[in-house]
Amino acid sequence: MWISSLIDVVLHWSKPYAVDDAASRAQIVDQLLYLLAGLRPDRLLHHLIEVWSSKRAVSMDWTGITTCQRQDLIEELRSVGDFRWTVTTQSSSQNPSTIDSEELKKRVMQSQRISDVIWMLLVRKDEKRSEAELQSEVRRILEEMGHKYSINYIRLMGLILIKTSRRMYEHIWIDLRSVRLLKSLFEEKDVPVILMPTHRSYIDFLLISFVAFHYGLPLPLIASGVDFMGMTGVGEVLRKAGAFFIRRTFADDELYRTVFAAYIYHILHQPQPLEFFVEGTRSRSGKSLYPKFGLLQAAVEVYLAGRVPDIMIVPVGITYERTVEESLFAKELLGLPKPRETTSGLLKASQTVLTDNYGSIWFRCGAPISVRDFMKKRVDRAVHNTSPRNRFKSTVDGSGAVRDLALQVVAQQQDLIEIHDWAVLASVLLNRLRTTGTTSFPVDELVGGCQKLLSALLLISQTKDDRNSDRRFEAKNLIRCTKIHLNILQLDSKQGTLWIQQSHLSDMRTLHLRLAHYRNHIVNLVAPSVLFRLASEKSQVESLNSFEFLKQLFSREFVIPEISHDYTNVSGEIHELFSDMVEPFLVGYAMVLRLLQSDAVSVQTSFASLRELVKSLQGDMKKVLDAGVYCGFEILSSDLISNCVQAVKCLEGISVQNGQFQIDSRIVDRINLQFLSLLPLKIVFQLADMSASSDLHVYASGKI
Amino acid sequence: MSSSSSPEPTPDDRLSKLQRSQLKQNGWGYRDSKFIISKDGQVEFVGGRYGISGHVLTSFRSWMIKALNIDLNFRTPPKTRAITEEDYPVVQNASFLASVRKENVAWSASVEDRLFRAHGHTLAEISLARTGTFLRIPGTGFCTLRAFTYLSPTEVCIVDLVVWPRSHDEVLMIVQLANKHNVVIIPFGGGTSVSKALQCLPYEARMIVSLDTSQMNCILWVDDKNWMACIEAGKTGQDLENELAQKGFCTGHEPDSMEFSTVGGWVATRASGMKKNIYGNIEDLVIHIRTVTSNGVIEKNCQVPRISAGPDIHQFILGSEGTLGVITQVVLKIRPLPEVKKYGSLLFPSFEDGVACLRQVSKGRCWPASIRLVDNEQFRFAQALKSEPSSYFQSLMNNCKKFYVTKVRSFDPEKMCVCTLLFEGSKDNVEKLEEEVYRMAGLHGGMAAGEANGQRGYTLTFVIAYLRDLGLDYGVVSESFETSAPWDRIVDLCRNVKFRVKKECLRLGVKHPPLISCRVTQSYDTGACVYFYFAFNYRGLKCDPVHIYEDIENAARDEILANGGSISHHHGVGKLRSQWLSKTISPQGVETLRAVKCHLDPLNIFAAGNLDLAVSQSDNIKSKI
Ligand SMILES: Cc1cc2nc3c(=O)[nH]c(=O)nc-3n(C[C@H](O)[C@H](O)[C@H](O)COP(=O)(O)OP(=O)(O)OC[C@H]3O[C@@H](n4cnc5c(N)ncnc54)[C@H](O)[C@@H]3O)c2cc1C
Repeated sequence: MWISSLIDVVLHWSKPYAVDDAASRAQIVDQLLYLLAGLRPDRLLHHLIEVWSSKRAVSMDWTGITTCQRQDLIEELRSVGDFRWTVTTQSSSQNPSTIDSEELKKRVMQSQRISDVIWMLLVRKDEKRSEAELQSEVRRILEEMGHKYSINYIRLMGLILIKTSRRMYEHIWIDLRSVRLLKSLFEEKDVPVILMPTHRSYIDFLLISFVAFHYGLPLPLIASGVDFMGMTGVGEVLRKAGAFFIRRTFADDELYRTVFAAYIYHILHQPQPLEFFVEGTRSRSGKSLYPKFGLLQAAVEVYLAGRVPDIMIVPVGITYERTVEESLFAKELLGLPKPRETTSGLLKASQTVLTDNYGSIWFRCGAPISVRDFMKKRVDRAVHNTSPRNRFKSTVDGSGAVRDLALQVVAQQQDLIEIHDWAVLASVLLNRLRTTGTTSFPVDELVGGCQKLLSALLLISQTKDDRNSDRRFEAKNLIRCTKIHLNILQLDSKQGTLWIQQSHLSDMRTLHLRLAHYRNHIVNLVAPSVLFRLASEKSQVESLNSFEFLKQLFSREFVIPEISHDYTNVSGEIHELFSDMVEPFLVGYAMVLRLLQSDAVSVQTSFASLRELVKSLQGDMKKVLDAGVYCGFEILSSDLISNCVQAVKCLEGISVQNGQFQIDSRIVDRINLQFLSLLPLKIVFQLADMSASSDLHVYASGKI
Repeated sequence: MSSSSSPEPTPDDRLSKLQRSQLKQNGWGYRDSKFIISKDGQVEFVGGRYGISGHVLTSFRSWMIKALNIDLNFRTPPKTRAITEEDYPVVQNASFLASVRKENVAWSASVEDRLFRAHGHTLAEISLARTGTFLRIPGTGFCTLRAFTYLSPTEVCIVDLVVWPRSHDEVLMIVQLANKHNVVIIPFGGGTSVSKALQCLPYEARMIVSLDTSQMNCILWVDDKNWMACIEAGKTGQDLENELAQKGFCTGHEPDSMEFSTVGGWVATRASGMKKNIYGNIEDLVIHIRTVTSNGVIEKNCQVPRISAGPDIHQFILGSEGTLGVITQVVLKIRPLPEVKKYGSLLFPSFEDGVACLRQVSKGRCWPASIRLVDNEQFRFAQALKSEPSSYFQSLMNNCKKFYVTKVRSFDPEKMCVCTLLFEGSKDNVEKLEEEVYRMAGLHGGMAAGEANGQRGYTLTFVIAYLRDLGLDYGVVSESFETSAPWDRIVDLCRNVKFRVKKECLRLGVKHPPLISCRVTQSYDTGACVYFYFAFNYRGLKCDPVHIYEDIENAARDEILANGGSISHHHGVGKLRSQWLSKTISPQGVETLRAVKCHLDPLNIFAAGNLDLAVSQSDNIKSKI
């Protein structure tokens, strides 16, 4: 808050002076902020000179861009100079914003839709609030929700970002075709654009704006969860950077839902794109999350109601070679409580963060999806013709289509994730850790394993570039990975051995989950074909059913694209490699299913919430693993357990009665049996060992 | 029933020649009137019938080149091949023909007469007429039923015979004969249909007779006590208004096609006139309708302003599109000629502002006789149609000089649009109304732009229809289509339809950006009528442009329906739009229409197949035979 008022004061104060144009005023502001940001003042002079000596705006050279495929943003910035970059890159014409944020709120406030819903609520018997109260409630919601986009703050963020990112990252690889694509999409004036990036880190919030800023594209307005607002100042800064805030759940709140829908409607009528994360929250596991539909639904409704001719959705894949939240995520997944997001927490974290090397970021956009084309065969817009436009009610078709659309976006995002060296190495390491139990590995052997896996992955990759590339995994790749992940690894180059850092040996669970986070970047590439292979071990007729069953059981775990792929061309050797990557999921699911069975140790049959159930399962699984037979500690991930539980619920193995979650043991037994019958013997034996060593009679032979 | 390729022609020459001599066979309107490009490359409108006749339109050529990318060297003139009787073999019903002759009904089997009555004025029909490639496939029976939304040249046939009844009684007699001898009748009024309603079904095995109403063209009586007039169905709008004017009256029904369209045609299509705000649409004007059906005459026994006698039988005849019988006489309301007739125009900064103003005018019900809003594309198009250099724009600027600096300057020439007004009534009323309308315009950023511009807009109305033929000469296909929608959907609907049309053009490989523009032509309490004009240059296109055009128009109609618009405001369904009828009025609705049809026309004599009635009727007949 204090920052914002200070800037306002400065702006006001600078007006009467020689500062004639907006740009130079912005410079003054930035200089001030530069000081405020506490960066080294001795460099200020240097920057000032830089600014004054070249007042010409940085203009993109589009001709250069058309020829090369990708560009390193860090490199680019180096050649421009931070300060000049922040001050002169964006001009107002590149960044149109016709409605200012207050006007936006006013429009929502005055919209027919809002008065309509207020009127509707007022005639309801159970509505206690008066009209005036409802109106002020709307105002309150809008205050909580609304963005306060301001280009000067973007510049501030830009400056901080450029400083920090330069320290943290070696490369930010921008796929230039994506930039060209975005540019062409923004040229179609009537059609709103929605950017839907993967969500793996807080950094995501700023990265797209950062990229857009650099390439002179309109900056997005970003939908985020309200939990951010708890952080003093940060929420406010994000608002100024174009973020707006949405509660996590509001299905039953008619008023909130309407205000939200109206706000989205108005945002889509702005020249700026909307940005949101279809996964809803940062994926702790590193794997794509099953999507959330609320926001997409609201956006698609704007099209279905005929208020825009089309909407273009651009899936965006952002890959981090090292995720800033890595250890935090691992802890969360193991059930240690999530720390509340506070400013001091963030600042504390950033001190350590800023000193490390976080390697590369890859940024890539997928083929845009036209909502019009997507809905064409699925939804008849005309069904809404016989009710007033303000009373838009989504139809069954509509909701189904939105679900399909969300899944399609996630499926595309998965293909946009970079198959980076570290993901490959992490997969191999994880595998070795699990199977051998040792914590040091000969480099040569690792490199060989990585090379095998990499070439297999490139072979099946959906992205043309990858398939055609002649990338190899060599010792130097391994060395580079180790440098970036010094917190985990240690290289003894004389002996040619790679060690797990001493400090991790006492906490193998966290280590496994940290590695799994990166393996999960690419596990989605291979999971469908592994599941398909499992199913096809069965007879012809059964195999299709079995594949369907596996798809359903793993529907929350792996987003498998609807379009039927040909998985049959995966050779046996490659299949082995891939199976190793997926194995812990199979074991984990078998374990959860077993524990859900009625004779399992401590499971009660009814729970107040799924979260409670997941927690209890997690506890039980810890006990089983403590026996030491199986080392795939990642199956303790609450993400995996909860995905499995959700799927069982979809398969009706868990039902809700009077607000209690009830386990239906008959159905769970059936699911369990069918699943076991599909598992390879190797895994079944392993499971039997595990149960034998714990006091769980898991797999009595009669059951298989 | 017998088939032969050489009927003995003894047609009533006098009748056919008289009518045909003035009108084009393969284009719009009078033979003497058309747009041409003169030797020095200027666009000219020749003839002496209209306001701009004989004028050189100096800036139109450059507009055509700019807006449609026309290449003046790329010419696609109509085929001038002489048409012979052999080209169009006749399905002949000898006994029917014999009876017609015996009863002394005027008739013709000449190929020109048959061709002229075999089509209306959709793009597909006109382009067939230009190439002269209609064809009859006789005797294929009912089984080869095909989708007729798109008829390739080989799939369209022409009528076999034309008859010209002179009175209600002659119609009655012809319809009875047709039932006796099982021949098909298609009533023909002015031939201005734009729904393929006049087209013959290609699989029709029976002889097809066009019943031309043009000889039933008298005003039978004028009742100046009750302000009603009884008019024969074949009277054209223009003649009707001229004659009534001599007695000091008018009906006030002025569809844009009024020069040629007929009273019977209006009733049969549920037509709408430009000045409906004062006089009403055809369904508001009609007091009494007399219709000859296969089962006898259907009519009411009184001429009253309103009646509660069960569902209104008029409503079945209104919009029946020639499928139930022949309308022979219609009693219409008339009104004394207005004291004052005054034009006006308004400029708005954007289409949205204009629509908002029309909405407000509708709320206040202070409609002028006509109020039309054209979008920016059409506004610029109209400017290009000016005859002397810059007269239009200049008068426009003169009229609003005092506002010019303050307001026009801030109008975006890429966005602003114009609204034309026509006031009618007593002097006082017109003045009051004018004031009110201009005040409301002011509330929406509009400003008065002068009388001359308004008048120009309305006189151009009749000429615009001639433009398509010019386009067709230079590789441009064009057409208009219309719809109606609630007020709060108008702006979105227009934008979305334009978007869809452009998208479809790209998808179908149209090489040049199309021209797609719209205007709001009628206002109602709850909504409005929107007209779209769509043209594209098909130079460089590999496939048949008409086919492509129809695909795009179909997509546009889908889009209209998806956005809350209707299947049609006044052009009707015909065969062109029958695929959307069931969705529009529910399958039960269509079945009801079929049941009525079955009762009134059990043998399916009126077998034009309009209104989605084709399929089940042919089934019906088959089972009866
Ligand atoms: C340039 C142009 C402008 C137009 N503008 C308008 C407009 O402003 N408003 C409007 O409403 N329409 C307009 N139309 C459409 C057309 O003019 C109307 O549909 C008109 O009512 C048709 O009348 P018609 O006499 O030409 O009938 P036709 O075209 O001859 O026939 C139309 C249909 O009515 C049937 N029919 C005709 N006469 C009879 C009868 N006596 N008994 C039974 N059935 C009969 C025919 O069988 C056919 O199905 C326009 C068309 C064009 C080409």
